Amino acid sequence: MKPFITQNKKYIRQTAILFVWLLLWQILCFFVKKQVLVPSPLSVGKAFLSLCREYDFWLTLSASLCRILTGYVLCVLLGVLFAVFCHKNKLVHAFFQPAIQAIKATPVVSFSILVLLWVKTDWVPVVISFLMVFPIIWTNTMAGISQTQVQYLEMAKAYGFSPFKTLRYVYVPSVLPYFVSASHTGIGMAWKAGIAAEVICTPAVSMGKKIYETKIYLETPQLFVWTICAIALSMVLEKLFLKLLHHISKRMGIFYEPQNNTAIS
Amino acid sequence: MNPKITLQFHNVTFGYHKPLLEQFTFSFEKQGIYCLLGKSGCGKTTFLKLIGGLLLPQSGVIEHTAKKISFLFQENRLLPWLTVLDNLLLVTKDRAYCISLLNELGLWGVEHKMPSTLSGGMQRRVALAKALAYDGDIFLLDEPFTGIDPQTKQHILPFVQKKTAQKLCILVTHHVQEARCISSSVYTLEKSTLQPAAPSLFVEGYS
Repeated sequence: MKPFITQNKKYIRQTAILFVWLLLWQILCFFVKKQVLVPSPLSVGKAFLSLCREYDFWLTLSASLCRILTGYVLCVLLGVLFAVFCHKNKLVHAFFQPAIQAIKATPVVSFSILVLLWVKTDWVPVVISFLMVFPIIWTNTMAGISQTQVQYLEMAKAYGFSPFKTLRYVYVPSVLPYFVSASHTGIGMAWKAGIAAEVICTPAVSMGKKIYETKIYLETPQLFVWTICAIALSMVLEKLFLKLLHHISKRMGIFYEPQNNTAIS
Repeated sequence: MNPKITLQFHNVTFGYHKPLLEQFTFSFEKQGIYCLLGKSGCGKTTFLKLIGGLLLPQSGVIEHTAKKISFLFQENRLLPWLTVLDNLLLVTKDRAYCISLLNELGLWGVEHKMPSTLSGGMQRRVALAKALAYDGDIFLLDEPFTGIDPQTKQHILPFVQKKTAQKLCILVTHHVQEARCISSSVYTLEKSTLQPAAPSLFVEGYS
């Protein structure tokens, strides 16, 4: 009974906080008095409802979601593999370290323009999402691997574990908390970078293009709607991905405590 | 009848910044428990690691006829993300045997608990159960009774002796009287030699 009450309290508190923010937004809108600068929550709601009725709205959301998700999933897979490879080979690690540092520091805009010259417009957000998240996944997976306790590896050797068994029972659980933190931070980053790339390259069906158009036609309520959609999709994806990871680790019989959500960047 | 397990050191040299074993030659011929005493830092754990193949001698050869070696480390080394039973199932497939071992060691109903929720003494017994579950031909037990209360120790000691009677077991301890209770083969590791413990040691103790 107690957890139910605690859960209920949590929802009530969150709803109250959301309500206070909406109120502050409405007050701000009341003082500014210009819908172009700060649209009211009501006008944003109306814009959202009218967009919801359009087929194009859902198509745009799906297209952007697919692009960013493709970049992100590729990044997670290759980032982990690359980290394992670099951990095994110190020379490869030293060789790629400056490149990773450069990717980390390069602005999304520079990359987007450059990548636009190499690939088709539709692929630019995929590549940008990949590039922006890759250093986070790589760095954290590397940190997880190097933090794997030597004592456990020695135990695995003493008891004759196969390489697969060592990977499954020693390495994966050691890396998991780092990987979860990186994935958590990475999803938000993929969305930000992906949408920014779409705004710069404007693929035919994309949220970025819609955002760009709101600037041209001064449709601020629509801008708010697209932004809120991006935030909501990012949050939903983040939750789904964490649930998936939790489910997989549970199926593997691994119980881990998420340390914190601060990934090494 | 199990085949006789032998373990031999031939001119083994090993050390870190100073030599711990130098041209060390010794043969463990009979089955049963050998207790190994020695001051801290004299190389007892290193000695076990050399037998377990976790360290390689800088020169010389270590020969044994064992197919499997059970190693109980000085630390428990239980994987914290697995339950007690899953930790044991890493080294054997026999679930019922694992539970019976836990029960014999006085650990009832802990199989689905996480190691971190157990006391130090209980964790030590789980680690001991893991070494026994692996059922090696050679047992290397590094201070197996650390953190276990005297009453429990008295209860589990005959069980450990029974389990290792037909095997070769090298047990490291700091406690002279404990060594004497466990086995009649008590040795001290000192200055690269393994000598039967002097009778005076049992009276004066190890300092």
